[in-house]
Parts: sequence; structure tokens; C-alpha cells
Amino acid sequence: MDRDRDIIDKLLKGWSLKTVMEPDPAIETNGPLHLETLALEAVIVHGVYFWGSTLQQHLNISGDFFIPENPAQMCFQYNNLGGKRFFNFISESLADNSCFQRIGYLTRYKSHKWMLIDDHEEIFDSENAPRGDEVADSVRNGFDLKMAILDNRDYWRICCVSRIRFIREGEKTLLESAPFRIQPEFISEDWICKVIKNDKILENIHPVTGAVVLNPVIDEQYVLDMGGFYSDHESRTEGAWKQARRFKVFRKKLQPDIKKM
Amino acid sequence: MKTNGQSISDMLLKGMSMKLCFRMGESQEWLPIHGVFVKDRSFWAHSMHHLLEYSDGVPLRITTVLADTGETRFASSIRENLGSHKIDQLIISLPARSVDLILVDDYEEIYQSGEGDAEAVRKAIAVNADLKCAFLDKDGFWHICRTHIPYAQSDSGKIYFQTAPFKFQPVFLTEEWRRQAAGQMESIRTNHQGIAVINTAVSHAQYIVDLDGRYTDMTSQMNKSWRDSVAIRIFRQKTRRDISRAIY
Repeated sequence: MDRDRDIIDKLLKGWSLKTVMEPDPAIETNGPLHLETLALEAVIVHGVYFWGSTLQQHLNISGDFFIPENPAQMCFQYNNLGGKRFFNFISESLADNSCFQRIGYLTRYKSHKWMLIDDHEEIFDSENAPRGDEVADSVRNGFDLKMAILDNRDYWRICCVSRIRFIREGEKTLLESAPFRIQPEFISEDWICKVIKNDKILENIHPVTGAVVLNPVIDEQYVLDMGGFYSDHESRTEGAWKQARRFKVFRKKLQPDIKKM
Repeated sequence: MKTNGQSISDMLLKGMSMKLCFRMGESQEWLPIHGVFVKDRSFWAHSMHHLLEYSDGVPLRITTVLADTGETRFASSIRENLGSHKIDQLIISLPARSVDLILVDDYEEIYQSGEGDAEAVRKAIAVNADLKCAFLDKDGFWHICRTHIPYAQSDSGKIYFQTAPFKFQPVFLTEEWRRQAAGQMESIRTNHQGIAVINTAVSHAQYIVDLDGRYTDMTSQMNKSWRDSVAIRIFRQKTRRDISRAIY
């Protein structure tokens, strides 16, 4: 648990979460022994638990690096629930857009490690007085940004910023996160309780193929109004804003001599 | 910053990243570009993140495209309705000074086919560095993308990259379109107030790049065949040297 607290402490300071994995070559579809990595650019933190999701919905490939007969867009989520034992993924068929979800054991991997990288520095924290307009200055100087929003249920939502809008009317600055897919059930208090209190919930998962799950999937994306409000999937469909309890903005630590043209 | 006579294509091929700043009156919208095609002095830039916008409560997934044929510059928007999965496309003639292109010199080349050191690439993968991959195909198009999943095989020593996917409109890359683009934009400006609906094929761009000189695109992946590249370059993001890493 100390390890998990240490990871969460770093995530809330802007460190990036990635995985370093060796898929088990004994499983044929994994291909020969190799190292692969994934950037988990959408992170959710709640208490001592965290979930990291890939942003890109990449097209699935087989161990021979070719697309299988039924091409699908895939995204993966890893977490530390229940002693970091399982992961889940969502695939969407290119043929008919049907979604398919699986939960699987991390034993699919010969090794699976978290890598935390101290590659962002904090430039704004709503609990501290702002240092000039570092967010706008960083955007205009071409820096990549990341934001963290604490909601009223104690969930931190951390994601890289994709689009930034400076709106003259009302002098608003809006940071729009990259979108990603998620199953809300898997980050719910209910699911956490099930996994923590009942080990049997994962009992029926096949060690290689995992298990099909039928949770709703949403396309999530946050918009942060630097005035202290944000929107998510739930509030955007209603055209409403939520009050952020706290929010931070980080920028990528690039070399000091980076040039902009 | 002076460009020292370098074209935007030259800068992109050195690994520089592009951001767009759309100016709408006194408001601005900044957008990163991650998937780029370059041929001669023309380029086609695509937003990587398919941003969500809502129309009557239904999310639309939006890809923004900015193309520059040398003669004319235009934008396009690919909009997928996530309810019906119907795709709409717009083409937009850009008024002068409505968009700034910002090139950031934030990547360094660590590998070039023919003279490259694969070990530098292997080391960059091991420390989870942010990488970008560019390859030249036989038709003279450079494809420049962020890498999504690198694969470093233990026994064979081979290195593959799966690039981050994006959507594009193949018709814009054709010679015929490039020849007609300036006229088309003039017509859209004159007859359609600068914006028109188009209906053309939309494809996925996702590549597997074998550092030994081969690649696959969507078509060749479906046919289970590799294509030979003319050249490959790998770039690594220039993060500060003092950043630390922790492995758990």
C-alpha cells in the first residue's frame, strides 16, 4: 500500500504514468518475448486507488503485426485494485461499431510494471495564488499541458490537455482534455467494495482469455474553465457545469532551449 | 524566431511538432497536431485527439485537418456522430491570418535508416521516452506520427512501432485534388461563404513500422503483406535531462 500511496502522490504532482510490459510468450497470441510500453494518459485517483487509461483507440493487431479478420479499435485500462491483479479493455468493431469488453488477469504478462516519469511541473493550483498568467504564457510558448480536477466525490481526474480556448467575451480560458473511453462501473465505490471485500468476484475469469463484461461504456472528456468550473460526460450532455473542488495545471518539462517558430 | 529559409515541410521532417492557433475575432483556439503527411512542400496535418462536441445531447467525435498544397491552405473537419456513427465532413476556406502555425523544436532525431544506431532506439524505449516516427513511402509521401506502442523483441533484437491512429481523407492526397485545390477554395469562398459539406472516403491511418526498413498501412495489414520504405527516422522528445523515473 505504501507503494500505491507513493504512486498516487507522484500522479498528483504531475508525474506521467506509463507501463512497461513483457507479454507472456507462452500465450500464442502474445507473439515472441518482447518489451512493450503504453502511455496511460487519462488517470483517475480515488483514495488509495488509481486507474490509468490509454487515450488512443488503436486498431488491434495480432502477434504477427497484421490486423485480424475483424478489425477493432481498442483501448486499455490498468488499475491497482485488489493488489493489481487485472486489467480491462474495450474494443469497438470497425464493421458495425459494436462494443466488446473484457476483463483479464495481469498474468497475461510475464512482467508488468508501472513507470512514473517526473516530466511535468505544476504551474497552477487553485489553492495557491496564481503566479502571473503562466497557463496562457505556456500555451503561447508551445508547451503541452496536463490538468487535474478534484470533483465533489473525491475523485481526481488527470488528463493531458488537447484543445485550449481563450474566449475574449468574459475573458475565459478553457482547457479541454483529450477524450478517452471508460466504463464508469469500474471506478465506482460499488465496484471497489466488491473487489476489495470479495475476492471471488474475479474467480470466474479465464487465466488466458479473461471474461466478457457488459458494463456501459462512455466517451469521457473534461473541459476545465479556469474560473473554477468543469464539465464531464454527465454534465456536457445536460449542457451544465460543475464546481471543481480543486484543480491544477502542469506543463511538460522540455529542455530550456526549445525553440518556437 | 526566424525560419532561416526552411519550409514548414523541412521543419516537420526534422521532428518539429506543429500546433495550430485558430483566430476567431479576439478569441483563440489552440490545437496540437500529431499525424502529418508531407510531400515536397505540401503537408496535411491532422489532430490526433478526436475531440467531443455535443449536438442535441449526442456526442460528435471531431478530427481537424489542415492542408497546405503550396498554392492554397484549407481546413477540413471530420465529424462522426457517436449515436448513429454517420460521418459528416466540412471543408473550410481559411481567410488570411485566421490560423497561425506554430512549429516547436521539441524532438531530436535519434535514428535514421542507413546510418542509424538501433541501440539508441532500444534505450529510448526502455526509459519510456516519447517518440515520433517518420517514414518515406515509394510515392514520395512522408508519414509522421507519434508512436503508440513500441515493441522491442528480446531474441531477434527487432524493433517495431505501432503508431498512434488518426483519421484522414485520401482524396486530399491525390495529384488531381492538389491541382484543383486553389480553384475549389475560390469557389467555396465565392459560392458557399467559405464552408461547404463534402462527401468523400475517410480512412484510418495506423502504421506498423519495422526499423529494418518495412512498414504496413491499413491496406497492406489487411492483405498481410509488408511494404518497403525508402527511409525511416525516429525522433525522441527533448525533455530535460534531469527528469527522474520510478519503476514499481
